[in-house]
Amino acid sequence: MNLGRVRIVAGGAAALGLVGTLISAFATDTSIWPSYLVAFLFCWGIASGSVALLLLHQLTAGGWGFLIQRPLEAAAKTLPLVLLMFVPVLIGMHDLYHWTHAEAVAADPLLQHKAAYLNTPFFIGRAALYFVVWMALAFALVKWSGRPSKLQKIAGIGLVIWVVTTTFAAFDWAMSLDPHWFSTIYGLIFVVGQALGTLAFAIAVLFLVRGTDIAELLNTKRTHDLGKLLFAFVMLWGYVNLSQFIIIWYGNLPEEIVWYVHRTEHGYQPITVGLVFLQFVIPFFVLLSRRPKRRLGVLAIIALGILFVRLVDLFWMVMPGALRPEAGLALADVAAPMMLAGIWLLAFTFLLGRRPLLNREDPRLEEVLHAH
Amino acid sequence: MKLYGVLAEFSNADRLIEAADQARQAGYAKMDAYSPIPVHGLSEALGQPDTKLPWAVFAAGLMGGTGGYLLQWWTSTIDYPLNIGGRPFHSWPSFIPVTFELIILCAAFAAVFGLFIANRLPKPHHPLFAVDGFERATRDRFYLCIEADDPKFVEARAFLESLQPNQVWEVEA
Repeated sequence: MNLGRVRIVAGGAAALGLVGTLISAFATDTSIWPSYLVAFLFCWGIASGSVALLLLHQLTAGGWGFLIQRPLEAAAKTLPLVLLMFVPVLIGMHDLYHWTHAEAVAADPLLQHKAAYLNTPFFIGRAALYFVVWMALAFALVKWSGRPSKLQKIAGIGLVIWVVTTTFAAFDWAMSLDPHWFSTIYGLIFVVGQALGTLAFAIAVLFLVRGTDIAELLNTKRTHDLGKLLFAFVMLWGYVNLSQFIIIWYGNLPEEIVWYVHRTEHGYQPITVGLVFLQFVIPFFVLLSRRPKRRLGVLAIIALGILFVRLVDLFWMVMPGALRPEAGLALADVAAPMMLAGIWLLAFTFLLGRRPLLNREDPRLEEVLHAH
Repeated sequence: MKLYGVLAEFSNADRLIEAADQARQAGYAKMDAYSPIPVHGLSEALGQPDTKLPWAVFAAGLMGGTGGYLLQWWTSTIDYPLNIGGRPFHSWPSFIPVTFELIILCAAFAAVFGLFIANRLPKPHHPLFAVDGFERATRDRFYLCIEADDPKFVEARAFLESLQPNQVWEVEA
């Protein structure tokens, strides 16, 4: 396994990121909290997205799911670490969320109206609830990974609960950065983005561990299935984003369109256009033909590209508007994701190494292995 | 008597794949298999070339998308410009849903009709229908047919018999 080398890279990134984050926290004027939030949302997305893909696998039981089941379980098991990573967000809350400022709420009737939902104690309480739900789902998925009959009973309702909690978490942690603005599809954009990023991550991990006992299950057809699923999530990401854009563009109401105005002015336009191409147009045309989807090496490169663009996408969701009106790259924007993703990846590789990569406890595996 | 081909009957899908595999390795190219269920790996065993249909679907999708976009652009900017909410006549976001739907529509049409054309369907009669018992190709038997225009056809009957099928027929054209 190549996990040893991944650990070195992850450890190095974490150390460098930590130094960079400390330098920008104490030696520069820019607040590190926005960058930290982006990094947190990125790690959360993969841990929580893994819960969703595992539930999806329990519902469908396709061969593709068995290929990436262990990496997803290891990622889901990092949720307690993600919870720990959330604590600093609470410390930086005052810098991040305008609605935490009592004098701002006092001067703003709209924020007073929303205060029943957007207030610090309820915010923390909801976050605790989300984490309890996700960790309970992750716990069940890992504990009963050899007993699918138990998991199949909870997978359907579990997925519904996951989508609802993730939607509200996206509202709380990202959409409330601009407390005047709202979009009902915003949560779904996060849901789809997490599924896309998690699948891309799992494909990259599968490429790294292709030489282990998973090789018995790995073939062109199942690689093709993973490629098709990645292609579907790329399209779904484009679909939900375009849905939000067309509706807001059509309505052209000042309180709604402002979100896109922030993202097409003040230097953010190149990122906006870049995201359309890098997260939709280019992956779409590359994955459209059959051959790239059937080669794990090619697929892994595309997946790593998508994973990086996911981080840029989160930066684009969080930064424009209140937190950083003028586009620009600060040291912390690079350092904070390196730090958190490095730490997270270290934990992930240790959790991944604990169990054999082929889930032989699942009675359905036998059938999958011998299917034509 | 002009022949269409030689037909061999097998009892299961594995035997059919094995037979097709051996026939391909023996140098037969003009052959086809008939089976009541889709058999994975059969078209590779038969040595069938990759289908060109995806290219037709892609071209049709591209044409549909371009046509759909140009139609909206032409009607709303040149032929009958209307001021809608003060937006520019060429408002591309509003053109996307129709463009998207036309890509899907044209690509789907190309896939369905291309499938019919590539398989030369509909085909009310086929020489194999004359074989007594061939209707079991829709139930529980698997058939491999080497066709008369194959260069090695003279040896085909002996070859198929060497594979120990249930039965071998010479089929009239």
